Amino acid sequence: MRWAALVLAAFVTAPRAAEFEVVDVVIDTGGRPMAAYQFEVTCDAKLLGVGNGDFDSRAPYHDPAAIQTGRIVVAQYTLAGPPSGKVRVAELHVQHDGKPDYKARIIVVAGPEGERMDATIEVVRRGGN
Amino acid sequence: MHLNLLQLEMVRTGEADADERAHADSCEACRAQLKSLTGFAEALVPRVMVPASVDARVLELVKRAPRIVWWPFAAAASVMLALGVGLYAAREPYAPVYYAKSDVNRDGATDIIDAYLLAKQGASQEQIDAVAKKAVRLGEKS
Repeated sequence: MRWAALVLAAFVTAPRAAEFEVVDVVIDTGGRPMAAYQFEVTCDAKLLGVGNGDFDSRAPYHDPAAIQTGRIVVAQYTLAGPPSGKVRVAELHVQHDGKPDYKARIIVVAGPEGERMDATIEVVRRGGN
Repeated sequence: MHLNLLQLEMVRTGEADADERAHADSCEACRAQLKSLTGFAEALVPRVMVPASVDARVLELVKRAPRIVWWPFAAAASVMLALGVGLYAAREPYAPVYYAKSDVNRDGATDIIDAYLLAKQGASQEQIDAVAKKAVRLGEKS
């Protein structure tokens, strides 16, 4: 019994191991072609990196100073045929010690002529959990 | 050579030059013509005698006519001028709007649209990257 209590105490008091996850940022333009996007994500976790999604083959623009913080502004444009509809524009690599809460907001989304347009944004955990 | 009718008329009215006047004095025929012309001209002018009573009445009416009082107009003009000068001095100073060089579409913000427009215009990748990096720089976005 004594060893069981020790194991339980060790489990409860030990710092939780850092966990990592990749989340997708999805922008929905409602069917209109999107030539450029810029968004901001804040979270109670550490951002480790940014990857491109299905929007463009290049990694999105971001401030390197955002790495290891919980706030980042991400942007990219494309001169190729602009995608439309629900587009996975970027992925964020995150280190956390719990289930982080993500807040995303669109700064600007533009069509092929550079015109601003409305869109929605969401952060999607892979695996849906 | 005698003076023609126009020259004679100019002599009569005093508009002729010295030569024409001298000829009119020395030439018998022209002098006669001038005399005839003068008589004719005088005959055309109506001679109306205005009675002294009418003269007096007209003068009296002129004196009684209301005089234009100018000072209210001058005062109003002065007030308007002062108002104009005051409003001009108190006007909002012209505030020119300056756009950052990176604000390509001049919407007041440097964002990815500016980088996109530069790319469409065929700008160098260096220029495009500079604008895009400025757009995502933390501290400039709240």
